[in-house]
Amino acid sequence: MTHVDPEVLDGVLKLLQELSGDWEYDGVIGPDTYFLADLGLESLDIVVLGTMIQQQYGRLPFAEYLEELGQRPVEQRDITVAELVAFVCEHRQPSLEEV
Amino acid sequence: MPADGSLWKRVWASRVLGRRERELFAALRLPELRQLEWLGARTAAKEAVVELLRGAHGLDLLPADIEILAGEGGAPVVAAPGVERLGATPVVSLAHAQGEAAALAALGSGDAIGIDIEHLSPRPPGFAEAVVTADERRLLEGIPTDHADEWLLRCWCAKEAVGKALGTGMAPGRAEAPAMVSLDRDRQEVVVRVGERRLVAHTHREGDLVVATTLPREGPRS
Repeated sequence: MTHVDPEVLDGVLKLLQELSGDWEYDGVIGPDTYFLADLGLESLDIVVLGTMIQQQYGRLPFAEYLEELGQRPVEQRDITVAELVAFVCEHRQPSLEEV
Repeated sequence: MPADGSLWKRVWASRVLGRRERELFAALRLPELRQLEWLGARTAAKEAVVELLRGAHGLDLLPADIEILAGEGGAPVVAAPGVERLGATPVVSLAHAQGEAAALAALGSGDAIGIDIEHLSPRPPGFAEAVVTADERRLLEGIPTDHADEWLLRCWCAKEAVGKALGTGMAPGRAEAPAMVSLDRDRQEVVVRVGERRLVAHTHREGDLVVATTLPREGPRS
């Protein structure tokens, strides 16, 4: 299991709060929130989210990740906020201070 | 929807869905609004197929006789009693966005069709960079500011519609990702390339809704 950096989790949750004004969801977004089942994201929302996350955390293999999710059986295509954060933590380039 | 909306949702589903679709519907893990959009798009598609089969072949079917199932790659496949011997397969494409649902249907020789809809609404900074490439943004340059957001969405919807028609989807990051190669504002058309193929998507705006449709057999006009 990839280490989930609490700072990244906070950053992604903050981003989701900003974007959620465009979504029909008024519940609390947390690590266990599902993107499709709970937030009801559509393809346009997913593209915007992917771009925002990469603006914040640098270039990520987001397209490949979406492709991999798309190839899973239907019932396994949905992911939680925590799973997305784990993906970001696993693939982001270390910032200059961390090198 | 009133508070007893879930009752009406079940009544609606049992009226229009076939047996296999009812199983799909029961297994959906989507918010209420997405479930209603799912039902709405299917209902529209089924009613269109019923009308087409009645008009062209005199078939008397009900929406629940027609099933829209997921084919290879997730594209919708239509199953209806008696159509195999007609030599004309109904094809459909489904779209939904923020409480609206739409469908396109045709009787063809198997060529797919595509539709997409999106709402014009305030978008976050970086939206344009997220939904169109640098080459596509150059094609959108010169469009007056008060129409820029609308044409950005027309471009996105056109790519989605073509991606659905050819079964590639949006294929982010891949060579077969649909790409806008030209647009004609007077005709409200967007030409989209997927690999070697170029398809025309017709776009229009209804209120704050942007719609794109494509019928691949037409091909691009010169």
